Amino acid sequence: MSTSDKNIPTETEQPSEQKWQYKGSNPLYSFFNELIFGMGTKKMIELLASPLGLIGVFFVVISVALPLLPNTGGLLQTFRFIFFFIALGESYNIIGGYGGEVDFGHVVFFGIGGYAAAITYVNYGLNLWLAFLMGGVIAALYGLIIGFPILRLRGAYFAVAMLAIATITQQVISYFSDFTGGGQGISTGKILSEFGDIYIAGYYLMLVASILAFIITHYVSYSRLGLSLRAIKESPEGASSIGINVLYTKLTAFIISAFIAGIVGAFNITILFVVTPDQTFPTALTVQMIIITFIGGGASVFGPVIGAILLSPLDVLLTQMLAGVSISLFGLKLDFSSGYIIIYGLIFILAILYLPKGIMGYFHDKGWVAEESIIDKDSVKIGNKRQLYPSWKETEIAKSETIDINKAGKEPTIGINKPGKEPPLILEVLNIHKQFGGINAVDDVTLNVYKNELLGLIGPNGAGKTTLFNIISGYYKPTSGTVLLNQKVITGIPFHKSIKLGIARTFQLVHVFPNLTVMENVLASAFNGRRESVSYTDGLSISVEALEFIGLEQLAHQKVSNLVINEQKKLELARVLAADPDVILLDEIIAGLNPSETEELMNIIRRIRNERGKTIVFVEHVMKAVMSISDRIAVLDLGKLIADGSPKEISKNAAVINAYLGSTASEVSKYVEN
Amino acid sequence: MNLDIIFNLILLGIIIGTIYSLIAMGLSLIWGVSRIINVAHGEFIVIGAYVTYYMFNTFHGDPSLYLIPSGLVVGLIGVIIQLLLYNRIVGRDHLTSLVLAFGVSIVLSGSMYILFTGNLRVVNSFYSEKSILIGSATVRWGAIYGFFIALILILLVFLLLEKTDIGRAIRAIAQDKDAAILMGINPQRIYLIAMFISAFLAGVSGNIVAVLYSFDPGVGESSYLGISFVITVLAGLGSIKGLILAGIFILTAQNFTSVYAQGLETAMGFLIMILFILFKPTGLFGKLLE
Repeated sequence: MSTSDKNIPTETEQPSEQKWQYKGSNPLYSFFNELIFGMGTKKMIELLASPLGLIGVFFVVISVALPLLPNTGGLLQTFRFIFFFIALGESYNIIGGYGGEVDFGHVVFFGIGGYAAAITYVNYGLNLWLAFLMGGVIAALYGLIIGFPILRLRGAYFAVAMLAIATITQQVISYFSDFTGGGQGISTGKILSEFGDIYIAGYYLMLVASILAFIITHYVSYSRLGLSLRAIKESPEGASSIGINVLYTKLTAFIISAFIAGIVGAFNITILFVVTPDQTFPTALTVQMIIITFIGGGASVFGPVIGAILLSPLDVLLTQMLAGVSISLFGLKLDFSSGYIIIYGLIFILAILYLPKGIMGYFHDKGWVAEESIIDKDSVKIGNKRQLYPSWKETEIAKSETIDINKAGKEPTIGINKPGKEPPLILEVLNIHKQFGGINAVDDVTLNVYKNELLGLIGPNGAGKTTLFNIISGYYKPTSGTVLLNQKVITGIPFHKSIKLGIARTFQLVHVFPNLTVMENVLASAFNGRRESVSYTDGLSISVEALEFIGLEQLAHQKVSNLVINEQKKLELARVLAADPDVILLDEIIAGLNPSETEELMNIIRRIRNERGKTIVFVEHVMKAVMSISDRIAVLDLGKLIADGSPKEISKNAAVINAYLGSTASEVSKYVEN
Repeated sequence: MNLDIIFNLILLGIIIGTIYSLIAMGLSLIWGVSRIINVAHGEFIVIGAYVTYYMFNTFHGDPSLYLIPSGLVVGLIGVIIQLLLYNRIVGRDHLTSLVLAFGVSIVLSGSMYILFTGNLRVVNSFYSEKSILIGSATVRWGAIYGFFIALILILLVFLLLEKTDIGRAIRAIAQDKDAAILMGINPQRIYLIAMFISAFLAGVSGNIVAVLYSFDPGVGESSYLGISFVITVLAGLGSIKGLILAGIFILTAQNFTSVYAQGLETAMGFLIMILFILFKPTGLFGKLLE
């Protein structure tokens, strides 16, 4: 057909009409540019100008002035406590809130920071301020070393492994007493000579730590790192599929988190006269970090602030109120001195049951406070049609290319079977084997995929279609065999790198990020996909363009959890487009859709091929759709490739009919044909 | 190091290790069946120890008389917590049960500090005072007592899981909850039974702990929870054989550590656990669960 030729964008066609084009930018320049002029700074200025920000500034001014006023000893202690827990809460928040992990050993960084500062200051005579810095740096380094293996673990295993790390670290520090003073600890009395009043110094240091922690967390939240972290929290597989390196992203967050806790630990030695393992690694501190962050609201910069302001004074108050309170009951003398921990625990349990996202999460859900997002709704212009490929002429295509899926088995419009044209190879699968136990899931499959074709991959359940996708995209390593992309071997690449090489895939069950907005989903893909060093504005343009192409732009700022299934599937396609791959692997994308939704999606897929010049391989069970849209069909059965040809050929192939319907059926069909 | 010492370390590793297998068993069971990582397991054990302590101080006699009562009291507490709290979070993501159990642990240990004070308690009986010589090793009767109780209970749990209908239902839920529900098994009922068994085992372990060691409300978290995790991970979920071997292996490893590097015993246990999580997350015999 002639129309399809016209609609394929060629290299020469594009730039002439193009209003906007992705250029790429210097990543280092990008990083600092976004840090200084990016969303973090913008939101910080907005915050400072808002009533909440003014209250915050007022609070800071009061805090600075407080030690200058007479008779404020008790209040100073309460305030110091609040600062202390804001700082530690924010540290925990980065990995526990944004990162979505439970960390039972977070205190380890606080302890390492304290010891690093004490050892460099006392044993090596380092300047106190440098020693404080060393506390943060060494804690961050420790985060890097233990994070590298431990962050591969998920869920409970991560939580328990961190508990183990904290205990091991504490015991090892006690054991090597030559260096650390063992159980006796390190005397830090020397600090007395540095400050006039160490309690006031300790107070100011904690104030600084809490402000620092708040600002760092704020900038993490409004950054690409924050976006990637939230994506990973929602779906690690989905995040990997759009090119996010899960381990490195978490590791970066872990290091930042460890740095903050290390600084707090280092500042804290000011008011300790001796640094001992028990004082420096108190398990109770991890408990408090978790509770404060949880109740205030994880994944929100204000969460730990609210948690600390509510709970720390309560802690002080209850401890004072309950000190020495005791009653006798049935001969048991009940001493309520440590009663505050029960009230703490009960509040925590109630929060888990009735306020599972914490106070800030409740505010977000009610719409009282906007959720933190790297995307500023007002600045995103939708409907401008800034397109990468302006050659897309809507009406013409809509008329000519709408497919009628009832016309099954029509001639392919494009691709290999076109006479007189040798299409270039893009993807080669050579002798791939994959064994699970003793079963050959994929058995010696060799398959060529040509540039710009729509290849349907079919086969009965368990034929090895998804396994083959998993091997091509690097999700699995094959037992043997080779995968070539543009004549380059890509066998066994890490999954998150496949998109960088140009292969994108979707999953049978959608792996979108439900608690992010549609636009955030796509933007995360634009930032991490194949295009290198995408600047912030380019990322937004790419995302808007992809959403408009798919037809989801009206839902851009909706949360994905509000979307129905076919919208979520379209979102996966938009996400894939934003990543800009050459080859797209679609795994049963129309499963579970009704006929009109199927037709709509099939049209989009065809348009992606025609107008974007992508190569598409798709696994599908809906035969009508496969037959109507494919240029070519490959059939797998029991791990083996049993047929490969045009839809017409496949529909008559005896082996294929046999595989689907059994041998009797193929006998029957032969009979019928004769 | 002479052979006698090696023999002693291994012998004690076997005896105490078996006791620790029992200590870890409740945690392993509830993790495998209900997917609840019961961080309050350590406190359950300590409650059992206090029940034995107070009953022994009131009624005297042999501490073994209070074995079953300790188990029942803690079993009842477990059932109440399951009905009141854990049942409410079925279907929420698996980390919710982790933090909820964490909250329960805080409340239980805090309550024990109020009820029983933070003083160290000991049950002074024949078991803690008298020893027996096995080869060249001096073993307290308490350890022998605990060893046999642990063996019997582990065997009973094994028989319960393998030979009874309830046991089959429990294993079915543990292996494939959805399929088990389709077979007509009520998961809530199984969770409750599993929690009762888990807490009962913790209470009984508490009886042994009280007979063998001194304790206060804090030891649940500091001494028994961590090691229970280590043994559970090493064994792999769903393997009783694995639990016994893991218990013996870890305790023996810790015994040897105490000779070469005293103070690093717990660290050694945790180090072995981390290596297992990283390189063999299915443990010795079990399967991986999220």
